[in-house]
Amino acid sequence: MVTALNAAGEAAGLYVGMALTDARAILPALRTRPAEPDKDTRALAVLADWCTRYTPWVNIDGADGLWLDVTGCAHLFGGEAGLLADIARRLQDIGVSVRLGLADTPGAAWAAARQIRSTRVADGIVPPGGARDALAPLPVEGLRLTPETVATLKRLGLARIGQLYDLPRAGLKRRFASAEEPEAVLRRLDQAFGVHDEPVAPLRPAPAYRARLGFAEPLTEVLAIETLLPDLVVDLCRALAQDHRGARRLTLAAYRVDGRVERLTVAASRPTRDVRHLQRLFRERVAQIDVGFGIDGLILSADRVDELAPDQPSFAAGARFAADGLSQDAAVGRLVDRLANKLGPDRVMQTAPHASHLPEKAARRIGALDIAPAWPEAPRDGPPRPFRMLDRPEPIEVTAEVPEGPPISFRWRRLVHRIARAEGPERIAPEWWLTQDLDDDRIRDYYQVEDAEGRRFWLYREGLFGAPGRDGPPRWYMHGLFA
Amino acid sequence: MQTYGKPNPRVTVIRDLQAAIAALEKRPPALSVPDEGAAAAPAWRLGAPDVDAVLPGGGLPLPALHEVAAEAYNDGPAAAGFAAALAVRRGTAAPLLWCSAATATAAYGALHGPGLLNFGLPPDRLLLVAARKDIDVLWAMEEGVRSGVPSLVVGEVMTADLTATRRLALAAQAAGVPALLLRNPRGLCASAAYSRWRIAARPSADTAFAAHAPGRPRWQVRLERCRGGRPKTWTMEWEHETGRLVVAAPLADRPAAAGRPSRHAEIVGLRRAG
Repeated sequence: MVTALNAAGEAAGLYVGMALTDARAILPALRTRPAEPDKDTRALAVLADWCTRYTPWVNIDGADGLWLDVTGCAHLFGGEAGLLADIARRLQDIGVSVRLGLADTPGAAWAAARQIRSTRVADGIVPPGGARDALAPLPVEGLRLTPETVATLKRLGLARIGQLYDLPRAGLKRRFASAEEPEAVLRRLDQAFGVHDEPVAPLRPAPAYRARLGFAEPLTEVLAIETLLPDLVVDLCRALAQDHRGARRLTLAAYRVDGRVERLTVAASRPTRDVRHLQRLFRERVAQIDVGFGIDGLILSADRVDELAPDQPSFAAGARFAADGLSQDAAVGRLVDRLANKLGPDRVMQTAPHASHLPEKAARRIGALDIAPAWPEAPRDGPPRPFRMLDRPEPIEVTAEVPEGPPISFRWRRLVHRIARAEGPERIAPEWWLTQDLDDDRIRDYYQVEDAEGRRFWLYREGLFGAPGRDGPPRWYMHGLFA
Repeated sequence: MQTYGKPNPRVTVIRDLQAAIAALEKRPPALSVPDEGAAAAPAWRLGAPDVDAVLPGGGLPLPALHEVAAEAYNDGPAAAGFAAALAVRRGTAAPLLWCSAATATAAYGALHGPGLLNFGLPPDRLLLVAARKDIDVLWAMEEGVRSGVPSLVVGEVMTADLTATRRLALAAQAAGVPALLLRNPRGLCASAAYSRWRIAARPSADTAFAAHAPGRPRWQVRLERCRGGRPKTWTMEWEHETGRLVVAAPLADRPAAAGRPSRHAEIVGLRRAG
């Protein structure tokens, strides 16, 4: 079956939905490809993404259409005609044939795009308030109705949209078998003329703050993006400053000439609209953009914004930061942002205490700027705790004089250490109130030991001798190292 | 050689050249002219007078790159301990940036908050960076130094070449933030650091309370090289209560040069008697 045709095919009299053998009979030279609806869907999604260069409000319509809400966007491209011409030209360049319609309402635009047969792009524009006149000569297929409803309308002799205008609404209802069909016809009509509102939801939430740049000639160098970045950042920051807002997350979208979009997202630990800071955050990542055959548009948007009071340089802050007008907290925040944006957010951390008896749980890593519980004062005679702790305890082989005593030597990572000094045991019981598994109750006896060379280790014996342990005799583990 | 009374023209020429080189390298003039500009920058004192006296300016210069390396692979924790001791000695309220490469964490484990607390280094001052590779650590260090925010930037790497250390040294000099590179002894190579310390663990002394318990951490600290300072070795202990490095005991294997004159004198005496 034929699912799609090009212009030449249509001209030869083929139509979508006819059997392939019939098509071959009409046009023996027909070249065919198997339909790949999955790939079409994906390609349409890519195209939708690409269209965010024109407006953030883009959504997919069925299997072959896109909605663009261009309210307030057309002037950026030289008016509505300019906008449509730009879309048509760029899509043609990447080999996509397109039919465009632009109108006051989604319904009218849909009809204009699909039913106005014209080679001139500007013919797809329905002037403001002109939907009634523009739609009147179009076939009723332009109303987004089911094929059955269309068939019924045609059977009734109502082939053009204009013929529906003067029909009494009550009379129309009587002519259909079911109640839904005339309802649908009337609703579609009302939507097309804006009597009923029809919102278009964007695929991705539309950011409140955007700055865009378009280029006549595609950029083929990452370096060029870097030099243009300041303009975008300044524009965006100006908008943010007007509303006393600061950005927490920003996305730089680079629109490639081949219809793909490269996105780069950076996050800030606290709301900011500092031009220099934002530039630095992006500059380190810009090299990740794959420019492909070139980039002809850049949009910088603030996806997440927070309140940010107007800047007030603090005089109390240290002299070092006074030049930047920054408090120390803000300066630390910036450093963390830069490190986290390059290395990854989970790689810049601080260590915070955690109420647990298990040594491996007594401290945990939290985000560098999260509010952390305070560490206690250094304990005077607290139990020893290692300077560094291994990610997971490593099994060791131990020789001990008496089974329950400290070891006299041990082998760790293939090296034998003879123990000169030892302190312990410090008994640490498992957190039985937290574990579901009651069998997991191995007690640990920790020893701080020093070998003959003066290196210090933190070892523990897991399990008790003679206890009805599940896992046989006690085992020894290396858990940490002292300075 | 230098004569007294009349100034030797050769010495003045050498002094001028040394001053010129020092000006080019932007550092206080070297060993033979200790009187000029030695106390220009505030020094980073270790707290042990014996050690500070050896360093030009009575301590390590702050806007510079310093290196700490273990003597052997197993002394890694001791070297990290010495670096942490230096961090405590730095002692300001500004955060301390500690960057570790994954290799260091895999070998010795990650810094442990309660252990740092016992050591005398407040964990809430620490900003930890867990980087994948050495190159990320070096980048993070440079970024930290250039920001001017941290009081000290420490980085644990497997190795760092001359270019990398030169970059760090220049950044530290420009921003006035000291950088400390904690290097693996297997990856040592030429470096632009101002000083390099080699650390080895040493058996600790008895404590007053428990005879066989480990005492204070004790290290052999060898100043391998230092611009304007002499290489020397000490045995030091870390007093975490006071936050001071203390020279523990005169060293048994003192460099031969120090002991030789007296022994020589004895031999001369014997000959006279015989």
